[in-house]
Amino acid sequence: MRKVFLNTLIGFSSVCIVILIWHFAAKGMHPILLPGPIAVGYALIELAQSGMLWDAIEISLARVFSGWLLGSSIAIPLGLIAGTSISARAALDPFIHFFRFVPALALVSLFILWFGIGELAKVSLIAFAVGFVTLVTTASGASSIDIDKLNGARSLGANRIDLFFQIIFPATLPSIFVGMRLALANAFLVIVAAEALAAQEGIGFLIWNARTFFRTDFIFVGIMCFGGLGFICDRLWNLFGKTIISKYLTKLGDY
Amino acid sequence: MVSDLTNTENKTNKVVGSEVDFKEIALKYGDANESDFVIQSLSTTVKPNEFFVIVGPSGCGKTTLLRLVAGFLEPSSGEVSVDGKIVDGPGSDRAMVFQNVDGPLLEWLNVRQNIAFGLKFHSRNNNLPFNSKVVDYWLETVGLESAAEKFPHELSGGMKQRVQIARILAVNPQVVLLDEPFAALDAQSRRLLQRQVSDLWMSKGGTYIYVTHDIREAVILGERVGVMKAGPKSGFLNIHEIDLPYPRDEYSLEFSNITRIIEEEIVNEVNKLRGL
Repeated sequence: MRKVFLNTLIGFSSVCIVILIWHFAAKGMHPILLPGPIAVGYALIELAQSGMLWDAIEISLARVFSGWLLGSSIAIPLGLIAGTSISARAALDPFIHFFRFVPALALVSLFILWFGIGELAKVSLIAFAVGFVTLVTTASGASSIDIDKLNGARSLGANRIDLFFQIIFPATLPSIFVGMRLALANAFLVIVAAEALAAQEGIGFLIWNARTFFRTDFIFVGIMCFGGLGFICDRLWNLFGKTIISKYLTKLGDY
Repeated sequence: MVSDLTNTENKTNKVVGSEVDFKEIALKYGDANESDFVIQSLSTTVKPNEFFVIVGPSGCGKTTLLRLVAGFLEPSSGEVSVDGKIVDGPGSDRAMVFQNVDGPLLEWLNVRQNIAFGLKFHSRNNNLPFNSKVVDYWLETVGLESAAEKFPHELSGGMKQRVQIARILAVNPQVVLLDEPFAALDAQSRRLLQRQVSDLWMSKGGTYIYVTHDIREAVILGERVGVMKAGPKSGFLNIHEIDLPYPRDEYSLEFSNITRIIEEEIVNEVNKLRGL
């Protein structure tokens, strides 16, 4: 318990020191170049009071989660299949390793052209960016399942469907969990691009819009929102892993 | 103790072990040349209800033979048959205990669920009702009642191997395949579990095929011990009848004699391989 307290204190102090350095660094600078922490605090209050901030957070989070879940729900089954069937892997591999190197940012205009300026374009862009990370980690996890686990189950009478749902899927959960965790950061990465074009709300829009009015302090608020929300989401995902599905993740480390 | 078992897993009804027949087995991996056959023209018969132990230099194909019986692997030529039926694919009449301590068990299931896991498939495939008393019975028989709710990562190596043994015996296999099951354990656990396997074979019946590199273990357990030649083109060099009463007395002269003979055969094989 004392150790936990001490580590929390260390974490808190290191944050305070960085804010202090920021404060002094900003003193000699024009606020358009680098607003200090106090100015950003006031901007935060201003945005929060107008209600704009909450709307932006809500809409951006909704996009991030829809895209993340959509991408993962396509990627996980494909990853399980690619990881366990050699012929399916041969068929899927060229596409997986081609498209995963296409930056989502390169697709923004195309997706708007195809899916319009509504939510669909933004959510599919995030799903694209998220999908390949989850797909590759899932496939790699599924392909490294101990062969004795599968053979043992087969010699106890398990058929192919049993193997898929009762061995391959649960045994791959640690990799899926890590893949989705990494993919969550990708979703945040792409939301800014998705909201740069053809968006009227969201944190990304807030940032791009602030640029045109030289409100650097608003840009900082947007950055803080992304970092803070990402941090919270990651902690929640970790908590989910350590509680509800913990028995599937005994092979994972503590990080 | 447990009287209303639907299967035959009680003390009075023994499993009737199958005859396992290897006929002119040859095996190579992938596109290897004929000179690279791992096993060549191997024929032998393991009798019903026999405890047959396979020893030999490393890499001679001991485990491969087990995998052929289990149906994880097909011979390049020849056939393995169990009670006259040619093996094609795995089945719960031929279940296997692996050397790998951590791989085969399901880490997200506790001990009880791990034992029930195979029994569920077995019951479904044979149109039998799933009987949880069978699980209780095997938990008790291998001495894991107190660990029933524990997960594999909370168990010692010896306990994990006992879960492996319980989960396969729960499906009543006619042939029990054991691939160096205790090689990774400490000497004390190994001794205890050897005794347990021997007792289970005598009380429950079934044909046991046991692979080991430990010659003493082979002579403690086996009714017959097959010594394999060094590979490639391996096969049986010699099959020894161990005509000693169970439990075997490791300090008897006969035990030492037979152990020495087998050991010399294996050393000769290894030396041949080195060109000595």
